[in-house]
Amino acid sequence: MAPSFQSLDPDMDDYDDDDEEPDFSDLKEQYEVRMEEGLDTFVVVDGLPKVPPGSKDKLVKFLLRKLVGFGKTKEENVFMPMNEEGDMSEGFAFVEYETPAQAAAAVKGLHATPLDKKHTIAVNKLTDIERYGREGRIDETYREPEMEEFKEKEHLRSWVGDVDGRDQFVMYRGDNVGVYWNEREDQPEPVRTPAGQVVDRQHWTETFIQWSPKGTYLTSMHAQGVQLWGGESWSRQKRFMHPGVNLVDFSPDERYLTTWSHQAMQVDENNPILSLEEDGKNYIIWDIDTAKPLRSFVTLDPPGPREDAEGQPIKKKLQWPAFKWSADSKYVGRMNHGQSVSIYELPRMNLFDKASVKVEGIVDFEWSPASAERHSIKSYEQLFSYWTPEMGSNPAKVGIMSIPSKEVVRTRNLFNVSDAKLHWQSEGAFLCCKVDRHSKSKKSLATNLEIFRVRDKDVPVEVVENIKDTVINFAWEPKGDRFVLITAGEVPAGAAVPPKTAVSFFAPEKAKAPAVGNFKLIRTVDKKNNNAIHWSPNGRFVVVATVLNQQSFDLDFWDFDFEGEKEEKERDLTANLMLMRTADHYGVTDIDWDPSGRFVATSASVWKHRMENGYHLYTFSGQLLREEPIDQFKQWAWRPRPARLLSKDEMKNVRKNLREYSRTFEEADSAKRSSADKAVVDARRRMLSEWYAWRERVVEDLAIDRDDLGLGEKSEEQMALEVDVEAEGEGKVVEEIFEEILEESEEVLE
Amino acid sequence: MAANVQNIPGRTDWAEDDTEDLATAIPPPQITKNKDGTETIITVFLNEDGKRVKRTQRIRRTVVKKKENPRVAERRQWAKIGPEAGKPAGPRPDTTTLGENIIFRPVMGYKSGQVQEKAPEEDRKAEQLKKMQIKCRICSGDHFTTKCPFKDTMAPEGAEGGAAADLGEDADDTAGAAGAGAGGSNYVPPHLRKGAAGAGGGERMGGKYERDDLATLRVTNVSEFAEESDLREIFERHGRVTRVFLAKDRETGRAKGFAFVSYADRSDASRACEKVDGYGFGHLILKVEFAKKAT
Amino acid sequence: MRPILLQGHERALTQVKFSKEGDLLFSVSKDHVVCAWYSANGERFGTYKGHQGALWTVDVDPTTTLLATGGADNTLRLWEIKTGKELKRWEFNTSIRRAEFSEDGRQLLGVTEKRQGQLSNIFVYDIVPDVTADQSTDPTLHITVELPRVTVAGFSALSRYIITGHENGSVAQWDAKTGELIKEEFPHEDGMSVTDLQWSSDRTYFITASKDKTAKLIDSETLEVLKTYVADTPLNSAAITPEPTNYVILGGGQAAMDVTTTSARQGKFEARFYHKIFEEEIGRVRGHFGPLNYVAVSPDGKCYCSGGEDGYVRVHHFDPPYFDFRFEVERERERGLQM
Repeated sequence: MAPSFQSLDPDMDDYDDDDEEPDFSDLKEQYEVRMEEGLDTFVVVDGLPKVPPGSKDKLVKFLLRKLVGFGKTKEENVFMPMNEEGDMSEGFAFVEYETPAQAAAAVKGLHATPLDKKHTIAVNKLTDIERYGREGRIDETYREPEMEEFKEKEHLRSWVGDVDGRDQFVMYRGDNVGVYWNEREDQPEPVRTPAGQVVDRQHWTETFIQWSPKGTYLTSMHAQGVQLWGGESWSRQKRFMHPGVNLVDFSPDERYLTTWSHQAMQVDENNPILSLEEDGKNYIIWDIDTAKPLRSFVTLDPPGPREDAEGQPIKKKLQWPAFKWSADSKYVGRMNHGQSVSIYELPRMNLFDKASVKVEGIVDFEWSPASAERHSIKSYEQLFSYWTPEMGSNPAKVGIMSIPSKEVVRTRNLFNVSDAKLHWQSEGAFLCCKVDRHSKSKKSLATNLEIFRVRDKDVPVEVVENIKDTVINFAWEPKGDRFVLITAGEVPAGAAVPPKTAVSFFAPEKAKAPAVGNFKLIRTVDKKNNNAIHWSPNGRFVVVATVLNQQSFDLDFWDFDFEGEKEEKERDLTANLMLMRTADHYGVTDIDWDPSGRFVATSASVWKHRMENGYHLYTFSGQLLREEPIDQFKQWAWRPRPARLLSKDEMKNVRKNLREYSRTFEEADSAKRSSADKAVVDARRRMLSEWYAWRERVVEDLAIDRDDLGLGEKSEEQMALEVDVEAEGEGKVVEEIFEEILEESEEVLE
Repeated sequence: MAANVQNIPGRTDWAEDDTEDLATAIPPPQITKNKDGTETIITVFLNEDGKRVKRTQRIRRTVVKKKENPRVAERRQWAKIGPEAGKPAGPRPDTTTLGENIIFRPVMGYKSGQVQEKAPEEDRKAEQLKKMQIKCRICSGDHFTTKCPFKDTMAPEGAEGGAAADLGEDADDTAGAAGAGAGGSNYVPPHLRKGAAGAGGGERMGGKYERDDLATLRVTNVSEFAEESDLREIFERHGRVTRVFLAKDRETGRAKGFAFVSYADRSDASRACEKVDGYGFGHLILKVEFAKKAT
Repeated sequence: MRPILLQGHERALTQVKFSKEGDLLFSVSKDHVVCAWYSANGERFGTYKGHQGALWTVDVDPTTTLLATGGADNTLRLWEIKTGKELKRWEFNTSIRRAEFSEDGRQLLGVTEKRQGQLSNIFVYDIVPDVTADQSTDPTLHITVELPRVTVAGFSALSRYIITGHENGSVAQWDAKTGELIKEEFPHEDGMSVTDLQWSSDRTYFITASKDKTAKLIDSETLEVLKTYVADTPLNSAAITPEPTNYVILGGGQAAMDVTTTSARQGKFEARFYHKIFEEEIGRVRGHFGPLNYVAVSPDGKCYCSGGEDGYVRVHHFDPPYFDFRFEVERERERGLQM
């Protein structure tokens, strides 16, 4: 059975996927008739002065002034009952609001507020009065709340301790999600729970799967919400109710989770987890440890008209994630297009400085992916970059702001900007702003790269100018200072094929350490179809590929530090670029490096097309290790690894003695390989001798049978190939000439 | 696969040497006999970048004698029958053509999609050289060039021969370019002549657009009951079809009588144009021509 | 390896056969035409015209005198190869799916299509290998097959058995003298049609291809499956290369409908080479624009050809690496034999 949101007991350890009984409990609950339906817009106001009929209207009007502060209601919706004699009011009133949320707000804001010196009003929900106000509904005596017994949690990172240092990955195909150990060219080994069960479960997720950023949790998506799985037993660790959830996003430290649904949530007050606070919202930011919502938000309408000229709704691309985390997860920000960035402080999720940070015209912003290390700045700060377009006579601007000071540490004016993209280098050392600029006539486009050296004094900016054609992809080397970009020519009108692309590689010039020299083009490779750049997580190697293309599926494996001779003209660059290998994976849709940077998995997902779904596994240098066609293959995801625990010195030490370490591993590898090879060779040898033994017997039997029947040694059809070499006149001798090249050399003239 | 190194992309066909302008710049191959019975052949050709390259090959010729099967020899002498009756000996270009060179070398642990050559560029060439048995330069059969059965029929086939000679190691990739390469006479509107500005090999850059756009055929006199799949079936026989567009009446859903068919490869398109033009389909005779640019 | 492309047909190829010397090649297609070609250079020798419907099958006798063809016009015909003259015509109620000569060329079998109210039938005729002789009109044997539709059939060594392959993936063995059913086996997945059956050169074993994406090497005597070759596409044909090479060639491809709508991948339509004994794939040859409907190997093992849904026949003459290739254990064995 599917690990349904409602039915699964979090303590349930062993997982039974044979039970196919569908779970209707969620539907039952959804359609159960509820008696108090509709009454949740009512509040009861108690503690009012008792007034004669003549003063009643006055009191209602007075009360109304307070009531409308929290929602919409009017005089007719305030019902103040009179006593049986009809001469005095009873001292309470029923008020109907437009929505339950308004009613809830009124309860929250008005309860226990003084009306005058003598009267303090009590405001409660009508349903609460019904529920708790009746006799016997509430126990009058205090009882100590029960403390749950402490139970030790499973180790959530046990996989990192694998003796062979293997990495895990998850595969989603058909209805099954399975977690495997990477075994290189061999069949991946399924991960097993301590009880020996294979972690391959049917209907584990409903839409897709996602790892948390450090690999601790595997996220499964369900109509009712999100679940996190992990530990050696692969049990459910957490669950977050969010009806209709579509997407999730983790904070970098895995402490918080953002869930988002396209449809606004509908929450009623009986919901055990969500409160009316969440009703009508799209986003929830959760605390993962407590599994409680911290704060919820509605989706902001993206800018621009909602409908096109013909009244059809325009589909807009959702910016995801909308809530962006600072590197240390202390802040999360969301942009209000063209106005400001709302920054919230964790863990309280209060609006930082009680107001959004105004940035007029803002189009996009990105946090630095690592905590800043600016020149001569010692105090704590997190940086984010943003850009604003040209407004009136003001030029477009790219800026970097420091939080918490809200100081703009650098801005740069730009002209003729049609679009810009912000690319941070993984350590926050560089920010590249890719600026698409149009000429004055707006006819042609060119791209500039404005590179901010964030760690240098005063954040100098270097401009890599005049890249013709549009840059369709850009990627920094992780932990490095080199980058790759892809440009595409303009699409000729009506062409059935996407335009050719060119791939350009850049590296800084040599400079005295620690300075980084100017960025220079190493090489451009044109007439390609490539559209994707995938760097190894450790840098140096990069896969430049063509994905989601019907005609081209090449994967180029490049090395930036090729250990060999360097071309003269590239001598002054801190790179020695070399195309190691080109592979071809038909229909490739996704490319994923393993966290160690040793392997690359490429997959063809049925989500994109139905041709030859499955995966390939390559080494970092592009050597194909495995390919496996799998029907209904959907998703491949390597399990990320947490940050290394070794200090920088220790890592350096490992690198220094790499030969020592690698010898041990090589020995283990070759031992494994030779035993496998030997088994294969033995099997072949056996097959060969069995085959020839069988043939010998069959041929002999046939010869005996032919002899018995008085037939010749060979059948008529076999005789056709026989030529009597001895016989005179039979067949003429023909000469055939073979040419064999013994040597060959080439030289370019001039 | 043997002919592989020999067929450097960009080199013109042997047979075409004297008809091309290039002939003036390129001397004919020099053949010298060595004492040990081998021959040294020096050829000059243009490489991809338009540079002249001198290649020196040392070749050994071996003559193998074998007895021919008399029944086969007899059948070789039979008079041809049916539509072939009375035709001269040798393959006719309308029924028999040479395909692209295919590298086929069995390997242990074959994996589909894997590039068969495992060694890097340089090693590969050297390795191939070791086992190399260069054969007929026209059809790469195991006979001397002058004895090639295609000598008379294939070589004069300008387009075909040219394409064949252009085929390099990566047969897939060059096929299209080779086919389109000669298409310099096709008009390209100036705004699409982008490649001209590119550095080096400007003419070839133009080729990439021709490959993309100029491989589209316009098909007219199509039966109103035709479906895209019918057309696809007809045209696919001549090459890889990337797109079939059949104009249909929005209300009746019937074909309007014309369609566009795009090939991945212009040479396929031109062959299809030739073959399918005049093809009877649904009581009508199809008319096929190259689509004019929608500019 | 430079394939020769034969363009004698307007529609999909259905079967291609080599003469026993490998010098001639006969191709039939859905376009009613039979073509004969010289395999060495692809020159067309001629055509055999007369059939009124799609052709399903062709076979040539051991002396390359007679050609048998059958197809959708419900006839089985015998031709004189040299002159193109039609020598004999047998007519049936349904179309002929398969025709094959026995190894001595003195018998010819024809399989008729199973249709509403008609079971599959196997007819065997005695053949006089002489163009001037009168061929008998009546069959010497007539088997009414009460099993699922027969898709392929042939004579085993010494014409002892008739082996049939069926629509449901089964293979049956019949006494070729009495027509009695001896054995029925199920080597292929249930319901997945056997699409081809080709013999080893001595007809003691054969290979079957099936829609279940596998090909099986089967002992003619016991019907025991000797080897299994797993492909990733439905197979239409399988051929055994003659000794001393130990390969099998498989041909197939997804049906046109499934492919053309997404992307016509040129390379998807490949002939696949497997090592016959080790069951391992050793290479592929691409080129066709549609599925491969038939693959055939020349009896001398020097070339093979494939007939495609795309209407082309591609003839390939192998290069030296093909003949030189050995697995290490094979070399080991060869060295052992030499000593």
